[in-house]
This record gives sequence, C-alpha cells and structure tokens, in this order.
Amino acid sequence: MLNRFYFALLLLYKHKKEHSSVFIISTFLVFLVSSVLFLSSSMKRDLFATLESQADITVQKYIGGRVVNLPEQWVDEFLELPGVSSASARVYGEYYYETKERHFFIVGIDFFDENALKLLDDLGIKIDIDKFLERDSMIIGSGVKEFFDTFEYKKYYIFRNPQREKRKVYIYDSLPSEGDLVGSDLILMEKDVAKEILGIDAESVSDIVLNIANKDELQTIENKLAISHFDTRIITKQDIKNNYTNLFNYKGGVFLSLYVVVIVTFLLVLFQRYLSISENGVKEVAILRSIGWTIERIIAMKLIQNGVIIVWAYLLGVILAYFYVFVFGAPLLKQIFLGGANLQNMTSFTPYITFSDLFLIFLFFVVPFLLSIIIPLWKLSVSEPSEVLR
Amino acid sequence: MGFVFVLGETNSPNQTLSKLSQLIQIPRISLSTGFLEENYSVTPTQNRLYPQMKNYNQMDFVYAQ
Repeated sequence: MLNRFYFALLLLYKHKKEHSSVFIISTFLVFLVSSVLFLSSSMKRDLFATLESQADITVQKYIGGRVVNLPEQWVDEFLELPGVSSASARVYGEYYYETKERHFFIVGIDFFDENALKLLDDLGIKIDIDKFLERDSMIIGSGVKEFFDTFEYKKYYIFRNPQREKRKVYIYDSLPSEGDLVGSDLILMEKDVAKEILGIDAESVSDIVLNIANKDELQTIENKLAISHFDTRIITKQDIKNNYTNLFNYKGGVFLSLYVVVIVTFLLVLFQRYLSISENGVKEVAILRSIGWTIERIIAMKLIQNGVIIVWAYLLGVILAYFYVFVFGAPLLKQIFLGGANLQNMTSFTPYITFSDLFLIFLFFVVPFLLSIIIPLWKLSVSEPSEVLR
Repeated sequence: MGFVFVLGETNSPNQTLSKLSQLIQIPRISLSTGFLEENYSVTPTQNRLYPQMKNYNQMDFVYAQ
C-alpha cells in the first residue's frame, strides 16, 4: 500500500508541470471561498457580541411609513409600566456633508452619566468634563477624523442645522480604529448640541430604549406599549438579531452563488481536460495495464495523485485566506461587506474560525473536484492496452 | 490581534466594539454602500435618494421585513 502511494507520488512529481495549473487555480478558489467565510463569521461574531449589551426593546414613533421623533416625556410614562426596569431616550441622526456626499452619524450622549464616562475611559478617552463642556465639543470616529484632516478641519467643524444656522463644535478626541465596524462614521457630542444640529426639538428624542427585568414578560410589555401609543413601532433585540443574520446570509449568499458559477466552470474544464488527456498519459495507463495492474488500482492511483493536489491546495488556500483576512484586514474583499462609498473604514477582524466553516469549504471544493474527475479517470483506465500501445 | 488560535474558541470578540456599542446604545454597522443596506439596514438609511432634504433626523428606518 505504501509502495503504491510512493509510486503515485513519484508519477505526480514526474508530471508536476501538468498538474501545477490545476494546483494554482484550486488554491486560488479555496482561498477565495475561505476568505469570504472567515470574514463573514468574524464580523458576525463581533456584531452579535455587541448586541448582547443592547436594550431589550426599542420604541419608535412611526407615522406614514416614516420614523419621526417622539416626545421625551414618554420615557417617564414607559417607566411606570410594570416590568420595565429602565428606559432611556436616544438622540441620533445622520449629518450630510453635501460637497463630498458623505454622511456622519451623530449620537447625543449624556456626559454627566458616570457609566458613559467609564466606557469612554475604557476606550482610552479621558474626559475632563469641565474642559469638554466649556465649549461645544465632540469625539469623532477614525473615519471622520481622516475625512476632517483631509479637509483641514483640524480643530473644529462648523455644522449647519436644518435652519442653516451655524454651530461650531470643537474636536476633543477620536475613537480608536479597532471600533470602526461600529464607529467609523460616528460623532459623539452632548445631547443638546446633537439635538440642535439634527433639528430635533428640545422636548423630543429620536427613540426610546427599554430594558425589562423578566424576559418572559417581553411579549406582554410589547403589547402594552403597542396599546399605549398606536403609532409606535416596537423592535426587540431578537428582531435586530434576525436582521443581522439576514444581512450576512444575504451578502455571503450572493458571493457564494457567484462562487458556485466559478467552481462549476472550473470543474467542467477539469472534466474536459481529463477526457482529452495527452498521448503520454494514455500510454502510461496502457503500460500499467499490460504489466498487470487492475482498473481499480489505476483509478486508486490517479485518485491518490489528485487527492494529494487538492488537499495541499485546500490547506494552502485556507492558510493564505487566514493571513489575508486576519493579518492584512481583507483589502478589497471587505468592501463587499462594508462598502467603500462613504468614509474609510480601517476596521480589523478578530480571528475566528469554526470547524463548520472549514468543513463547508471542504464540502464545496474537494468533494466536487474528486467527483468531476472520477468518470474521465475510469474511461481512461478501461481503454484497451493492446490497442493504445499499437 | 493574535496569531495563535484554537478552532472554535479563538480570540474573544472585539472589546472596543462592545464598549462602543454599549456607549451609544444603538445597534449599528457603519456600512456605506447602498448595495444591500437599503433592504437590510439596522441603521437609518443614508437618504441617498433625497440629498436635498435638510431635515436629516427624519430619515426613514428600513428594517428587513
């Protein structure tokens, strides 16, 4: 058995030029599909981890198919509902930079909230509250920072509210680029300043988030909220999780369907290549047959040869994909998931690979590969040796 | 970012992302193409269709149906 394997490898080495193109293309295809799967899994995991800290329920006011601001006093109203453990108002919205058609995402934060200050501290941003509130200040995401730097807004930026009034806001600090997946285009500022820039009334907020003490009461509280204000839309954490899953499945699915087209084409070429194998190849098989090799033995030998090629291509492709995604940050490919039309996103991806991903790649590549060559190999092996040699 | 990993139990999720997400209390991804986000966004859509509209806070939220 070992001899047979050794012989197969020797033949493989002898014909290495013939096999090199298959090896290179196979490696590239494995690399491509692995990169997408690695990227998708890593982002999915990171984003799902961020969801854990989110509120259980989001309440929005929904009129005429559009989300509108809602009165801040609803917070107190919701807090009175039995089962609601906390409620807070959120102020946020997009700010459009017309000249370059870029969008910033402004979020209003309560800088007197100790928890917020602690989280900022954890992010490496030390807030001197007196200095921060002395004048209008903001903390910007790394994408925004780069954009501002390009246009020489080094110290401050002058925002215009919907009434076209100017408001100068000073740059206090910038967020670390490790958080770019969430915060590349983010601008954090005092709630009141954010409200003015976004054109939200002093008594209104963008939406309200609630936490509930007992998760079993979720449905009841949802119903109560729906009854209390009929023009509301209630979004649970589970809804958002479903959205994330859809998003990644969709994007990954689009890519995988393209991949299927490519792999089918490759396998057809491979099939054709083995059908019209060179004269030397046919002669080689005929000689083996005439010295007493059985058809099964020849097929087994050819399968070993191709198996070695494909397993090496698989391993090399996966390793290359690991470096491409997790070390070099998947340039070009990440644009499929993140897009490149707005601000630059310098995010890096946390290494995360599962057995299911690796198995899926194996299933999507190695199995179809071996299946596509088995018929031509059999055809080759059953050719009559005496005729071929003549 | 670590190089060494064990399958299934690799590096812990990105802590910066978690903290940032806790701070803003908004589940979001800073996506920037209109490719799919139009249908599947969990953040406000970027109002590409009506850039002349000045009241940006009133933008639509599109959640996957």
